[in-house]
Amino acid sequence: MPVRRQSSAPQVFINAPFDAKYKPLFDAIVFTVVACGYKPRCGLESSDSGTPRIGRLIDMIKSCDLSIHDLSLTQLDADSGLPRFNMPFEFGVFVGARSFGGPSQNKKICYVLAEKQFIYQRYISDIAGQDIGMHNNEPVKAIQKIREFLRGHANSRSLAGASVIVASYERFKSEVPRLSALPQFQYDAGDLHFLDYCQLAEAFLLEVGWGRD
Amino acid sequence: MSKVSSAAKKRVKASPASSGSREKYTLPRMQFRGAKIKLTEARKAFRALHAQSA
Repeated sequence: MPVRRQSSAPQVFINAPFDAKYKPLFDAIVFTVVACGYKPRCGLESSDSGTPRIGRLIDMIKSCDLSIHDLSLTQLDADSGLPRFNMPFEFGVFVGARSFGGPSQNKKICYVLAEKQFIYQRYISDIAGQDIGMHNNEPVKAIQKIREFLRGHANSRSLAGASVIVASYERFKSEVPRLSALPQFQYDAGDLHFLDYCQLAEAFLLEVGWGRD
Repeated sequence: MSKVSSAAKKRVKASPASSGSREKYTLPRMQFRGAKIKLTEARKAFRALHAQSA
């Protein structure tokens, strides 16, 4: 009997805020990446205290050919009154890997998201004039932008349209709390671990009409 | 905020994998190592949920 070779998903590094306020956008971005057939990766994946966080991030960036960087969070932290530099820093690591990482890294492609046109140019003028996606803090816009970006790199893969992804996401959001109420799933729907969220998104999509490669 | 078209909503609602229709979109294997929820269990649970709502 011939053995069907299973393809593994290309990986996308997601560099975005993990704050509660940003969660609706983050969840929508992660769901869209899965729906487009890519494996999302981000700093929330592992809490291995044995490896420094920067080391884990560098390994992750090294293994991802594509990346999404949301640089819209520019407000000062409410508690400390200080700015947060993690997102621009990780964006810089990705660009550095592409520029200096040799042949295995120079095909990397990144996509930058910001909240509004022209504002980002004031806080990160080095990327002014580049193709930046504006989400206006709306998950639907973020889904449309991410899908558009990934479509350009999907080769022969047929991607669901943005409206289908949005409708699937709305349904997924309404079903996750119902799933958490089942006796075999003892989790807080509002506080799912990143990997469990991804797993549920994949399972859901496979049950609403997406097939396996 | 953009509106989801009702046609798109209907397409999602009317397309469970169990319908036997040919899948238009495909997913490669993702393998989320470290996830506590198992893919097969989650699929089974979603299937049961969809059967309930059908």
